[in-house]
Amino acid sequence: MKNIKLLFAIGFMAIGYIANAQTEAQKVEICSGIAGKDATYQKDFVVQLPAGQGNEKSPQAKYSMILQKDTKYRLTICTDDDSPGKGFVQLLDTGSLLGSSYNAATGKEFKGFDFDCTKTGVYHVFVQFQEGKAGKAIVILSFMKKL
Amino acid sequence: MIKKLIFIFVGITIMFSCNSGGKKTSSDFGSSDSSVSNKALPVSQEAMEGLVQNISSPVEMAALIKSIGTPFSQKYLAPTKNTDNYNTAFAKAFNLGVFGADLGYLNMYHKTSMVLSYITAIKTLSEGINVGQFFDFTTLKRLSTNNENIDSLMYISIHSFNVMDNYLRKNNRSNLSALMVAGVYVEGLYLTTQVCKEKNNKKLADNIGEQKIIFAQLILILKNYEKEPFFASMIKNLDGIKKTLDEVKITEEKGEPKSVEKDGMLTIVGTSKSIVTMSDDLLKRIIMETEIARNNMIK
Repeated sequence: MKNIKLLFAIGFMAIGYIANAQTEAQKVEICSGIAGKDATYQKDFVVQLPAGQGNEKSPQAKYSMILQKDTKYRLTICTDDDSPGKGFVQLLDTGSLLGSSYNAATGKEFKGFDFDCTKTGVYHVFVQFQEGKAGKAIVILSFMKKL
Repeated sequence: MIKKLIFIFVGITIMFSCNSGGKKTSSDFGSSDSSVSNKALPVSQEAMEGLVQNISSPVEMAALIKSIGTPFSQKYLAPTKNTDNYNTAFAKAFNLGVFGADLGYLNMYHKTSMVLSYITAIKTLSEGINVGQFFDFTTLKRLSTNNENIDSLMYISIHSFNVMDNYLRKNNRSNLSALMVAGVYVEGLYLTTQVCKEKNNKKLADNIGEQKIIFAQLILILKNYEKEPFFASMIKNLDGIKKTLDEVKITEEKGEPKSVEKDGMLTIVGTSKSIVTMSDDLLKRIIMETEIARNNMIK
């Protein structure tokens, strides 16, 4: 009887895990749609971060990517409904900030931003959550057009 | 009773796992994983996690070709009749990338009637490296044969490749992921150079010259695995491209980005510049070296 209960528990855990994975794929598709009709999906980044501890710097997810000259890209962020913190995305070029979907000083936020790339190279995408809260979000990189 | 329950749970688990990429056929599980190199690659795995993404984008390559008014041409594409020749996991992964790039090119030009043979080849190769369950062949086939919803065709194609790539990276098979990336990249470079060979265009030539930056990243990835003879041979095969691209001069001018807000949408306009300098002779040699290397690898 004990074995049967254990099997049920394992089975439900497995189903729960897989069902969650499916939902993630659906979320990526929805977020890709939010990027707009003229945006062509390129990459997605699923980000889940813990809350920042005390005076420590807020946790960040970092990705490096190649962006090409004369190309318009779009970065879109979709925060999960049950995420404690609201996510925002930043684009950096060798350490210097190019743009952010959230301005902490003014409190202004966007669902993302476009980037007109004028120099081919490795760029960095940082994702974090406002006020260093824990959170879950999806970031979509879309190709818009050649400039 | 317990045996029956185990059977049911395993069945349910497999059923759900297979469904993540759309409807599947039983043939998705047809081949044994023993045919795939599953050697643990701890160093490479770590390196792959930190490496750059978006190295090769079939969409960007095809959009560039289309943006300069180049008409569609089938002659640039890799022939799908060679699919049966790719009998190692490495060759399958590389050519999976090659066909992925060709699929991007076909989609960009809305050549849905030709998509079927490419998605069939991709299905065969992805099953050959046990990632067929992530390639939504049924939906792509329906979309292409009914000539419906190009946006969905594009999304599912790219997303399927991303899911396959992520799966390989997370399952100690990042060597195959690297080959897929290399396949997409080499085929993209081949398509761009072939168009440039026939149509002298400054934008295209600049893009080819700028590949010096991206190609260096690709070689960095491949070098993680150069102990494998297939990789060593591939790096050697790509050496001609590397040497010619190394001759390209790229100078950078730094500039402050500008933010423009319009209709609630934020646009960051980069003002940094990269200027490509290369002679016509060098461009011709890059085109030739790319042709030789790519044709060697798709045999």
